[in-house]
Amino acid sequence: MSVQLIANILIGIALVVFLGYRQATWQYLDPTRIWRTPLIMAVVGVVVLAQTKATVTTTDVVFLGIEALITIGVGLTMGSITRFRTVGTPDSKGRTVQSRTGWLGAALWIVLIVVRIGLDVLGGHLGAHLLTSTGTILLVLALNRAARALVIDQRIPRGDRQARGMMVR
Amino acid sequence: MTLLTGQDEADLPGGRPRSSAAWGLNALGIAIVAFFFVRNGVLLHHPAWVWVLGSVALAAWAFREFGRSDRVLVVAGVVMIAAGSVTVVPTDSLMVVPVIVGIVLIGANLRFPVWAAAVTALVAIVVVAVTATVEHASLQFVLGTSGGMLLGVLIGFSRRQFRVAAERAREAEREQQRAELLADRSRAARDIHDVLAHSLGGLVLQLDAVEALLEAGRVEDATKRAGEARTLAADGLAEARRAVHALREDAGPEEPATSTRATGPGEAIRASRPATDPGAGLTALVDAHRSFGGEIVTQGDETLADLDAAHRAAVVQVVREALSNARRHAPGRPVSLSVIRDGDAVDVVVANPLAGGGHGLLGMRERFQELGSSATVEAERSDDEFVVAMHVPVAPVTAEEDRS
Repeated sequence: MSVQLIANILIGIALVVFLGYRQATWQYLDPTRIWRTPLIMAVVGVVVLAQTKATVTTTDVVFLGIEALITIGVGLTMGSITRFRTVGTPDSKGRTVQSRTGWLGAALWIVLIVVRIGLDVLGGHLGAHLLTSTGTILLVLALNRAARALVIDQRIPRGDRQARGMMVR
Repeated sequence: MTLLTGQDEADLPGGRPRSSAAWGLNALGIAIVAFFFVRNGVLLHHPAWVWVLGSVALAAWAFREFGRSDRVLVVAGVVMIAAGSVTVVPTDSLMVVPVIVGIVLIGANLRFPVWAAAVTALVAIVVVAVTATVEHASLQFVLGTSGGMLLGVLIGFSRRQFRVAAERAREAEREQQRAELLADRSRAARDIHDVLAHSLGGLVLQLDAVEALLEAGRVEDATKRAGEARTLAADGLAEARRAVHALREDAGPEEPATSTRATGPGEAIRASRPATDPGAGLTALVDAHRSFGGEIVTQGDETLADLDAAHRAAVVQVVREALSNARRHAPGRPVSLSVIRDGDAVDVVVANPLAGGGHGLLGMRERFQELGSSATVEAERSDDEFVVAMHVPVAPVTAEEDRS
């Protein structure tokens, strides 16, 4: 059990370092694909959630709602603090727009993870067991990415591209 | 988005005030919810805080009916959601109605970002879930009311799209009005350019000649030239007056009393062009060009008898511009003007050696485009000459006469 705990902690730390690195460096961004990740995550999350047998209570709804609010808030903030730049030489996929959120973005990820763990513990004590399922985690991440995509979609520099029908305006 | 400021009481797209039907439906809704709120409250023995918050939510809804400023509407919506969501569980979901109305209100408000309504609904769901947990209400109850609120988000979103579309339509209309204004302005600029460039350019040539003659001591000739220059200046002034007058009349179509000459928009547009004696065709221009000391070789029918008035006027304008350009850019060089009948059309070509372009060339093309017929004009450098070539359909009457 302790080995698994240590493994979990190591994986968690590696994830945080990886996410922090990604946020702090310039990453290529495909404006047409910012909705892809949240959509896939949401679909997988719903499928996984549908297979969970846990009994759902009103407490679950409370914690899910709170967590959704926080994750949406973090996503919206991430979207609004994202900085863009266009590079002259497109990469192998023809993308020229790069984005980064800086260390604040990395800190927000840590906040999200801490809130997530805190709510897990608190919810577990109060009998909200749905919260800890993998499906819920995926849905929360999907909401986060969707909120970020919503803001980025409206802010992204589209100087060299023709106006495209946005999914949400 | 800021354009909607001050008229956000408009609940319908297009900036119209809320219809009385919408107002009546809202009033009916308030009455029904208030009736059941009181009736159920008496039966279920609501605690005091439920009575207070429920009344606040209903009051905010009623307030929203009479509220006119955007801020009042937003505040009313927020109060409806806050007070309503707390009382949803104690009132057996009756108070979800003002919550949904408030969510729609916020979702449709273009001042808020698109996610505002969804986040508000989520907050309301959390509040409902908390009260449900405290009061031990069922999960189905929470999910049912949550579904109602999400429906409110969708309704608000669709209403928002309506407003955005209406806003775009208004924007497009404004853009079109601007384009029309610019077109009018460029037409006015063209007319003024044509009149002034022609008269003043000719005047300069005449006065140069006068100067040269005076230096040579030929006072007689100089006096004659000066007389011609005076006539030209008077003509130019008259044309400028006519153009300005026509533009004035054009600008005020809503004053029919003053527009005795312009009976229709088409005629008004035509009248706005300075016409040099339309009956005479190109003869007057050719004579004028010669009198300025220019050399011109003509071929064909200078009077343009085969064309109708509008086309003739346009051709006269373009030839005048071409001759004006030729004098300005290639003074003293021979100009050739040919009018050739080509089946159902007439080709008018002005060619002179070496000239550059100017505002006039643009005006030439616009003038022919405005005719809306198959008439075309081309002005380009060809070898060592500058050629202005016009292809103009003959007037229908003339064409029929020719066939018979």
